[in-house]
Amino acid sequence: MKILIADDHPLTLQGTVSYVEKMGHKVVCSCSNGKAALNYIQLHTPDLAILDLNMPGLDGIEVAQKIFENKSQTKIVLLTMHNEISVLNKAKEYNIYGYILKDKAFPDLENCLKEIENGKKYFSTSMHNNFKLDPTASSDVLSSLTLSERKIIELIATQKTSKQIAELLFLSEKTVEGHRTKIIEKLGIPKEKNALLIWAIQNIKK
Amino acid sequence: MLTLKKYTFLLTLIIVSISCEDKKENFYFEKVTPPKEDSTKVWLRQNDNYQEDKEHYLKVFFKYYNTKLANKEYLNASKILDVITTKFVYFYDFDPRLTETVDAFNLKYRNKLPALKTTHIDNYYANLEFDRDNVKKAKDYFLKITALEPNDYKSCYKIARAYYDLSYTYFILGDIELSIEANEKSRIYSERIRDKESIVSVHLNYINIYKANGSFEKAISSANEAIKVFKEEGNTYDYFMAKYNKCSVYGFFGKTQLKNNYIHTTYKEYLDSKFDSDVLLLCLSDYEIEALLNENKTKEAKIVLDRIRPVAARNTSQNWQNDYQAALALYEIKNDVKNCNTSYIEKALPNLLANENYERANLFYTVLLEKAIQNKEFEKAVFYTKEAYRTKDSLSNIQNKLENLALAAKYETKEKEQKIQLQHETISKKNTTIFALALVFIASILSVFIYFLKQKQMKLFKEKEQSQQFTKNLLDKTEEERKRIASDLHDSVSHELLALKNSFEVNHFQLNEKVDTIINDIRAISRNLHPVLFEKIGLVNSLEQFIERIENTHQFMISSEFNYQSSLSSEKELQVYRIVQEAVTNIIKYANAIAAKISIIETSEKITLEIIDNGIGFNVEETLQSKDAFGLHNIIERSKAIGGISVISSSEKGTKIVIEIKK
Repeated sequence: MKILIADDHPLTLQGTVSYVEKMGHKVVCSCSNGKAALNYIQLHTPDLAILDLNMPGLDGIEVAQKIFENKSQTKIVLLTMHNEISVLNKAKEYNIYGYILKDKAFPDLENCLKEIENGKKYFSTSMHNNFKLDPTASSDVLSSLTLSERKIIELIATQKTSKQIAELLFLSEKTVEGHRTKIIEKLGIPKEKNALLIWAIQNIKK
Repeated sequence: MLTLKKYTFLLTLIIVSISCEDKKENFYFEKVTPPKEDSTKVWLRQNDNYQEDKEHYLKVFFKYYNTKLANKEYLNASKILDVITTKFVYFYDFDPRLTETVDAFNLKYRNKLPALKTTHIDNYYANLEFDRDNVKKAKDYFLKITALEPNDYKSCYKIARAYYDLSYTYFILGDIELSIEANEKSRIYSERIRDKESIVSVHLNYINIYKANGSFEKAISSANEAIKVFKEEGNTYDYFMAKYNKCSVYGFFGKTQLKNNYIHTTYKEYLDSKFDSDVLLLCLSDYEIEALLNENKTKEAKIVLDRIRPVAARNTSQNWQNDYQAALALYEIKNDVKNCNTSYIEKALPNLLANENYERANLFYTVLLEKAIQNKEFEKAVFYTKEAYRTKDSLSNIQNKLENLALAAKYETKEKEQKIQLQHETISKKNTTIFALALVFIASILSVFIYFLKQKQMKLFKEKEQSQQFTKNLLDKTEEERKRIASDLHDSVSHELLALKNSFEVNHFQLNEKVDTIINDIRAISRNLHPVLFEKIGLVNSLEQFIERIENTHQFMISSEFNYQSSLSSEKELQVYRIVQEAVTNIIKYANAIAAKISIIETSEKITLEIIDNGIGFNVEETLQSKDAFGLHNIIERSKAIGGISVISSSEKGTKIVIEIKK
């Protein structure tokens, strides 16, 4: 693959270039700002562009946006220190092929390039569980539930009706009902009357 | 807006009060200064020019008058005719040439002009008929004028004068009741033009009316009032006329001694005054002659008589001719009763009686009686005595005397009431003026007050704006600074750490872990300092991530509802983000809530940010005044900085923060 690499940090740029070349790819261009990168991409359309997020002039996302708008064939991979879902979500709007955290570049970048060669996309796995602190005091069974689901089952244990729960959590009754169904599914509770209530009273401890 | 409304209200009040005043004014007519007249007209107006050379005067008038007619300026012709007829009537000069002119105008041009502008024609005819002893005809002409309603000062004046003359005419005809009525009408119209002389003329008529009613004191006091006012006004003609009338009162009541003395002084006063009026000279002389003859001063009487002979000869007034003839006859009777010629008087009598001119008939009968006595023709004397009494009584029917007295008294009270009413009107008018002035004054004070208030308000507003701008700048600068620190930390420090980590040998696992932790810590600090790529990602995405992070870190549930189209600037969005951050931090720290909700709702007019929790709540007032309310003040100040209004309410069921930002 013909690859362009852009990073305003010379040390990182150098590291990335040698790492990519070691994997047998050809680095056709390495530059230190977004503008130069965009120019090269528009002129030569390399197969892949590995872009840093924070760069002077144009940043990585802006370059991705331009490429996306120009319907260029060059695939974009963002390589960044930002471990932010929001950034990733934004970047995904511009159809990027990869999102790699710099501190996890080894071996994530290698995996990413392989996936892209196979026509797939790759986003760092460490992104999603980033916020989660150590699992709380809750039992193992509950760890499969989301926060909302956990809150709801806790409230069910205090014998609150769906309506009361909805009011307490600022949700609609319908949403609460939806969550109840999910909880029953996730915990494998038999679909009997009051089964969830009984389960909750028995298993949730105050 | 409110002050503006007040102001308008006041203005309306002023306008209304002024317009009310205007309505009252309609009763009165104000004298208007006439436009500048041409030199000929001014010349014609002057009495001297008439008196010096009447022929030349008439020539000038006819030339002027005919030019106006030739140019079809009928109104101007009528106006000059008005001036001339008034003057001739004043001098009791009924020159046939003028009468001819008036006749012609009456026939050809009068119908081209409005009735109110041609009353002088009727006035001329009335006076003419009066002078010819056709008193009834004169009355009809006067009635023609009084039938009109005035529409300006001049027409009102003319109508007042017509009533005055009508009153005298009724008196001559012996109808005292109508005379009083007309006289009072004259007073009302005179008051409407506020003409002092015109008002006092009413007294001249009352002299005769009281005379006829046998009320000597009242007749004299009316005369004195008239004399006083005419003297004050400098109206010499009417001053002497009033004195002449006073003389007639003395005569009527048989106070010969008083009459004689009074006419002597008056006659002397007149001669000394050098005032030149044929009419005055004639009438005063008549009484003077009568008085002198009464005192048997025949020689003196002859001197007076001789003085007026040429005047009487040239005078065209039959009225004064009659009086002169009477005086002459009296002199002749005294002087040489055998040769005296009273044929003029005897011939005139039937006409006077037919026209019910009782006053002069009485005078003539008195002359004839005198002659009869002198001639010792007692039968005739008895007849003339009877006739003299009859004519005197006809002036006022004895039966009616008491009634008329009561009527006059009634009018007098009416007059007083009128005066009181007039005073009231003047007072109320003054009050309205004072009220209007006060209103204007209040309005101006108010406007000045409002002006200063507005200035102060503006100053306050500016200060407020400035302080808000300052807060905004401060907040923006802080954010800028935080952003710089965040990116410095993130970009440099993290990268250096990363480089450090990569330089280690592979098996330094523990060290790697430590570096990763430091990198994550720096990330968290950096993120707290400034939300990552906020300008790129936008408010809603950043908030969603913020909520997710809070939920995960604190196991605290936050539901959200975003209906926001990114219509705020990035700086303002960041402030909204900070407000949410602050509010949520507070909820987690203090509220002890089960859950919270954040919503941003955008409509066409405003954006509403709402943060609700179901925690324990707090006393908003107290907290805001305490020292440790930095978080709340932070929210309020930030919302002010972005032009929003914040409302914080709290109870034991939870807290609600609402911020409305107008678009």
